Amino acid sequence: MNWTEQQIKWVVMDMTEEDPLACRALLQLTEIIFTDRVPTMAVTISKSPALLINLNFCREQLESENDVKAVLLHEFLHVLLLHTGKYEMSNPLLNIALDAIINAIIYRYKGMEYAGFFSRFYKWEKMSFLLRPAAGEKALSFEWGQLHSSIYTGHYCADDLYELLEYLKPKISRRDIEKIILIGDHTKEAVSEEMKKVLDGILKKMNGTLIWNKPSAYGLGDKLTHEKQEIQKYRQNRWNKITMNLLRRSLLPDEKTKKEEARIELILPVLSSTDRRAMARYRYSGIVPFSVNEVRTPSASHLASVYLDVSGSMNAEIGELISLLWRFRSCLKLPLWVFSNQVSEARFIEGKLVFHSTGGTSIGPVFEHIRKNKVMKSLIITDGYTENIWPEMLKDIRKENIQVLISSGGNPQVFDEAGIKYSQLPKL
Amino acid sequence: MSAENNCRIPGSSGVFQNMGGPMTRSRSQKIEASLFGKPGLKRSHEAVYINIPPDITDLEEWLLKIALSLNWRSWDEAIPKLDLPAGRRLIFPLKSIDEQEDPSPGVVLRNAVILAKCNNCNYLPDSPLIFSRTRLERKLELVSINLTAYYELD
Repeated sequence: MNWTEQQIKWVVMDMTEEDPLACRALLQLTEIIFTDRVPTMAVTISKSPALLINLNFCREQLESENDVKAVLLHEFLHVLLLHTGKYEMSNPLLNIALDAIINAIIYRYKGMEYAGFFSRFYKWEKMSFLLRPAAGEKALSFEWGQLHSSIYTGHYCADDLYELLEYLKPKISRRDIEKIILIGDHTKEAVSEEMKKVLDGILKKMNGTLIWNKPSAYGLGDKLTHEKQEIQKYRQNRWNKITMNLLRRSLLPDEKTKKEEARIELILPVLSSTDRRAMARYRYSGIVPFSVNEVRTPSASHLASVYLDVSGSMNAEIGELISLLWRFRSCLKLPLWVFSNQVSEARFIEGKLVFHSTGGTSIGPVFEHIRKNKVMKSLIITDGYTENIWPEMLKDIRKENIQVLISSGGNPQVFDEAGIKYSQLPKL
Repeated sequence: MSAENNCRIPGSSGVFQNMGGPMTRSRSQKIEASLFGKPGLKRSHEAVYINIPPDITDLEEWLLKIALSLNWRSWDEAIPKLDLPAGRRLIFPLKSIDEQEDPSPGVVLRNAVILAKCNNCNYLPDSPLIFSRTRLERKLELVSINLTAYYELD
């Protein structure tokens, strides 16, 4: 495209207004210089910041304003990620690693709208394919495809990729590297103090509201979402494991509900198909031997008495804790006990826990309830924001028979001071 | 249309402005319907767009040539005669376009200057002129709202 200097300046101004990745702070300080000193574009920040643009490169390679913006953003990210100050840029493999990571960021942030330029500029061949997103091309090989996918889904940082490429160096032909034209100026330069402040300011603006907020919105970011779900599952499993351990310690046989099955073995002069040894003996002797007979009888279910804190301070986590209890409902003695300033009953009705709460918190009524109802073992689920536990409150109660589960946002101090063992849930 | 897509349309906001609540409780889809559903809320609205020939690279130069055909030699001379909106306006993507038959050079210039002054959300009279193709190729509806009626104030 036959770009004029003025039109490029308009595009830079437009991008400054648009402010992608908070680049305005740097771009509005930057002087635009058209020069042949750089092969493509470069941002220099050693003294007064300047954006160096080779107009011939623009005319030959950039077809639209989005192409110009993609290259500008590429240069901006080199500065922002401190590539020019941090690395010795003379290493070609390092340059490829840094550019690949930057192009992947642009792809995830703006999709093919911007990254389409990289797909045109770089060929889909070893090693240049690392510098562009796939636009329907098949992977060169399974391993290289995996590497490409990891870069463009954001699994690698520049250091990881460089390390990996160094490891793969024997498999990479020198010619493949040499023929790659890199965008931007890949020479090391110092960063001035003023520019350090500007860059710090930009980094502070990246508070999770940009590319890091919605990784699934563009490109291959949906795989990151999948990863997030896996992390969530792992954390949920940890919750389940901690809760299951405590529930196990609180289980007691409940004679009123006989839902479990006990297996009893009786030795009788009656043949049983399960006792194969007795059957064999009968075959060769002809006399009915004593054999093991299995009898199954209903036995008491092992259930745990749970006291759930439903005070106002639990509001943030109560939903997650209730769904946790719902998963273990077969091990819970129902109705469930809930407490705020008093202990009351709660029931699961159509998957929801229906309870009454006064809003306050007091642990005293729980111990009173345990004592009065002679509850041998119990599990208390609370955030720990209660009054101090005095020895009189625990009169006639064995501390070792009380299990305490502290919510992830809770404080176990009062139970710690009272010598009651507790476990705390990790953050979800 | 999802909220994310909505943000990517030229003329709509890239951020959810004045949300006043967490994302789960916010509504972003029906703003236009609720804002313009009531009669008397729109104080003024006008469609703004221009057709740029594909072979033009330097848009400012092209527009100045049009200005010159009206004997206006610079933007300083042209802008006071273009009758631009005096105050700030909201902008929305234009839904339906009534194709104009060769708009007059004055209309092309006026629309181009308005588009050059529009950011992602608003037309700002004091905003600098930015003649990028991304900006000038937008098809927008400029709207001013009767705020007193909107907030049901007397």
